[in-house]
Amino acid sequence: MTSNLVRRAVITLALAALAGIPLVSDDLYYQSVLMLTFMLAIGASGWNIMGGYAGYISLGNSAFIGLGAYTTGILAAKQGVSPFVGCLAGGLVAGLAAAFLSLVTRRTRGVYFVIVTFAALELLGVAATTWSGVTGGSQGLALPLPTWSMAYQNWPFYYPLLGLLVLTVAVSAAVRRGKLGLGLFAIADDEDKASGLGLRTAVYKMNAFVLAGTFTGIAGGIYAYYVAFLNVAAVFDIVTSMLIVLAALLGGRGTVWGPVLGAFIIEPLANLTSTSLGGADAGAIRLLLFGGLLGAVVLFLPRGVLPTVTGYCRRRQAPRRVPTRPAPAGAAGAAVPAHGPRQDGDPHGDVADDVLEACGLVKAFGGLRAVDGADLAVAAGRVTGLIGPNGSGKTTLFNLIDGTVRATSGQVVLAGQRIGRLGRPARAHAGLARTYQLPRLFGSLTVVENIVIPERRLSFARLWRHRVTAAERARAIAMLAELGLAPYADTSPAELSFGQRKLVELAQVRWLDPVVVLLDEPAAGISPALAERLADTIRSLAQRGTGVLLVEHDLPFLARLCQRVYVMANGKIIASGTAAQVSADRAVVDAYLGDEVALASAEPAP
Amino acid sequence: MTELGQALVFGVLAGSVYGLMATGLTLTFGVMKIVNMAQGALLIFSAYLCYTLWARFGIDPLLGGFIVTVPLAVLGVVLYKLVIQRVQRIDQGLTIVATFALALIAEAAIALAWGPNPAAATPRYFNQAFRIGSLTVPRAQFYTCLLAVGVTLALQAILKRTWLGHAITAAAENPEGARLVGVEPARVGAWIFAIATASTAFGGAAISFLYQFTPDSQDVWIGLTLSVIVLGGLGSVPGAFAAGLLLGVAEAITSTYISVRWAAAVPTLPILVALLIRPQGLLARATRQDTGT
Amino acid sequence: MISIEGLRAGYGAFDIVRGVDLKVDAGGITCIIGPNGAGKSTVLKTISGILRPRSGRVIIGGTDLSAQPPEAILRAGIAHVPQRHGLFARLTVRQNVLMGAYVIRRRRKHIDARYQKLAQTFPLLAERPDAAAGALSGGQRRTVEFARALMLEPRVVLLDEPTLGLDPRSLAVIRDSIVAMNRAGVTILMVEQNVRFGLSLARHAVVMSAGTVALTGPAGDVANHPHLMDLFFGAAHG
Repeated sequence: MTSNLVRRAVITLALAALAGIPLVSDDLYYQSVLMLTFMLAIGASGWNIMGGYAGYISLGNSAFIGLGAYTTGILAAKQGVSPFVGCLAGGLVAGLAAAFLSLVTRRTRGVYFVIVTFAALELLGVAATTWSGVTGGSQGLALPLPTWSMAYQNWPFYYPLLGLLVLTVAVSAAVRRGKLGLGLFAIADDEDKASGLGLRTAVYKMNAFVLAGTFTGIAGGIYAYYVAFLNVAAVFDIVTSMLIVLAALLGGRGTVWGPVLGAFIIEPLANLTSTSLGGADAGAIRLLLFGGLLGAVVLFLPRGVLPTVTGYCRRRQAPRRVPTRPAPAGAAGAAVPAHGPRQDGDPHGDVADDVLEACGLVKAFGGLRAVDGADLAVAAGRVTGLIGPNGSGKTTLFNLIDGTVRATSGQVVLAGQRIGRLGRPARAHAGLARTYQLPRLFGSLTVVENIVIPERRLSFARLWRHRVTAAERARAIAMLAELGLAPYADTSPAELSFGQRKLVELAQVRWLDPVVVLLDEPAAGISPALAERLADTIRSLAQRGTGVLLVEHDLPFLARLCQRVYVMANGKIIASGTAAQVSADRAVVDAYLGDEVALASAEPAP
Repeated sequence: MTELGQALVFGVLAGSVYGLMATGLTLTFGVMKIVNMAQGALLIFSAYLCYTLWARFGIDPLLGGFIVTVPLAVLGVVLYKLVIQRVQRIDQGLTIVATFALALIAEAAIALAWGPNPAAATPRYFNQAFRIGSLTVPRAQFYTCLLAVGVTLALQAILKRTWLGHAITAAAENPEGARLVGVEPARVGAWIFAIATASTAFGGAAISFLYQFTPDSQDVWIGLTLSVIVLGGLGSVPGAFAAGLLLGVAEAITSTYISVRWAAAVPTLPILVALLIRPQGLLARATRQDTGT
Repeated sequence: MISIEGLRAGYGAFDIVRGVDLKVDAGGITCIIGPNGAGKSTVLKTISGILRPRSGRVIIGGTDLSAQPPEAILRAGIAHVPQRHGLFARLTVRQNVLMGAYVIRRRRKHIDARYQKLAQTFPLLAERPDAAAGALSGGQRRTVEFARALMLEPRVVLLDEPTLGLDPRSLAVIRDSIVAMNRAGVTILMVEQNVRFGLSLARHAVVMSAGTVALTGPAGDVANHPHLMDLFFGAAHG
């Protein structure tokens, strides 16, 4: 672990150096470059929480600087508010704007979101210019000069900015280390899957956005006092936004120190170019330089400097990947599974409560009825099968039950509660979980993290705990051991085979301790040995009282597991019974082999 | 009443040009789902080229537009092959950032080549006007309106009546089905970029004598063209034209009845409203979420 | 006519087709049947070039056409009608059919003449050439897709589940079209979910399961094979 020590030493030294500079040197110019660098680093770190952790790229983050600066400026100029309160107010306003922006992401994602951030920045700039009564418009806004002695020089700005930077990086690190970060990375990988596992993605995003906005806003407030004169073009500026993005991308988005590193490269470079270049072309050359750098980073170094360097170092140390031994658990604590077995279902009895009922479910896409009045029931502690030919509506039925698709009519009842109106996280909280035909795992997370991420309940305190607590790790490793996957605990899901990924997805589902589980072709495409392991896992799920609804094509597999099988064709349930009964049913055979066609005159060509 | 009528005239004339400016963006987004943030820079680049043709060789900017389509088309193909294809392979989400970088590089290059001073071509007709009843119809705007209608119709004709147009429509809707008939989406991509940037030449020609422009004007125009395509259905050429008209009229009326300063907000406001309420565009057909069973 | 040797292909990390050997005789109708996930459609996709095989060979009419792009396969005389999304909903019937001749699009007159000829076999082409393809019924769409496949006068037509999504009435129409195509000399290799339909038309049948060929033989023999349903219900890899 010496690399950790080295890192800590370097960081401490750097911090000491930065803190010491104003004490030893009177050069105001270098201090101002450093202050701008701190600001860029704060902006980039904030951007990184939104764009690096959660995957929401924004081209408008300089708006937070502008909001912070103008709030502070207006309060100072019109109300004579003290700088400290002013900056905090600036942070608050920027934070509120960020919260609003996060609400936007409910419907507006991906490229549309980027456009919105761009437009919002423009609009705020126009608004600031137009409300000249309040903001001074294009003439600018002058802040009252500081009331403290000039002998302090830059210290009242320098140290707060440095302190804010330290705070921002510390919070960014805490986020990344904690469950909030875990959730954000999952959202970046596969937002829908995350909400299906019970993550209240809206809350996670709002937290991320507000953190980004608030810190950037406070920095903007300090900046306002430093320059003492604000004009719209300088703060609501697309080039500043671009520099923020560039710093984060260049340094390495998704890392803690990447954006800081990027800022420390970019800002001095920006300063150097503006001092050494003279003449009318200076601005254009700078733009060319930074635009070119941004393009180059995107095309040739998309992961950024820090990940590329650390990846290179790592590859030089460990020759070929070998499943790493699980690291020792963080805190002391007995490896006790957090949840005991649930109240047993009755696998052999005749009477078991139905935990899931679908009544008259219909889903129509235009004129086509993919599901046309389906009724089925899944009993607690039992495995129920669902079979049917290609195109019969099985996947749509699953989508209706788990909430991916809204039903045209009909009801879904889970443990006595109607869940038709609930969103996906809420359905997960109510005890519903599901796997997919092609397993969906979070690529940025390790296998253990993938397993522990599902949530039955959101609590703010929980967001700041470690990504994987000791108890959770123990429970997850125990699960992996049962599946024979313990050596893969800390590897990326990309290193797993298809069948192994299916097992991990199943473990994710078990983690939720669900009431009902929907399994979509779990045995498809895997070896018989793995299929057996899978069958064992499913059996143990049922034995703990969970109701299982299983879509499969492999009838022997179903016959071994299911007490009851439904057959679906053309969107309807056409038969139900034991596997043996169903495979002998004439209607079922017809559904599989297809309609009789009048064959009187049809002869194959000679 | 004449005040309203006049506002409408200005609005329609300006709006038709807005639609013209957005056609390139519409094509690349509609077919390839790529938002080309460099559209504003391409417009200004064309504007400068047309201006130079007029200032140095006395070529009328409207004619200059036709000439400029050639270098622009070449530029489009080069951009597609060198930048777009590459970034799409690396990380699709970063494509918009890449085109954003291109916009800034282009702005810088333009500033270095032509300097930061405002430019505007002033052909004979630039400040002449017709009178129809009590309404004034500026000549220059009238010609550009005709140009806009012509280009829109020509693009529609290409899309609807030529093999290339069918191939583009097919590949946009159904890439695998297109491959089965021998249409390679990558080749189609190069053509789309060529056509999109060539049509931008006409927008630039219009800017060159309708407005004063500087290298950083690209920022204003990208905001506006984004607005047009968001309103008009990200991908519909006639929709973009209609949206342009709508924006032009809205801007003119705001300017006349509210204030000129707020008129500057008109172009960007629709983006926010539309994207919050109906991301696929106000005039686009409702997209079906289903994909079979 | 078509000879497939040791074919392996798939999407993403794993193989769906895991070593397939298959022969299709010229002039006949061969039908591939099997349960979901067996790899039937994948085999067709590797023949027509939209999916690159990972190993193995595809030999058509004596020429090795493995891993060729779709355009080359079309020019070699093989057309593929996919399971879904074959049509371009925003184009008209006529435009859709003409797109089948995209690779020879310069030969305008020839193409128009070909369209007229096909309209005799498929009256829909003459009756509603300007209808938007998206507005047609399932059976009508299939007809347009067939016509489009025939534009280049192919030697072989690959049909992927031609009856998918069709009501029983359309089945007869589709059956007649396939028989007519075959009578005109086109070799047909089709994948079918509707086993009875497929085996009633085909001369030769291939049963696939879990990525390999489980059974092959004359259609009649396969249809009456005692363990056919077992193959469907997965006994082969239980």
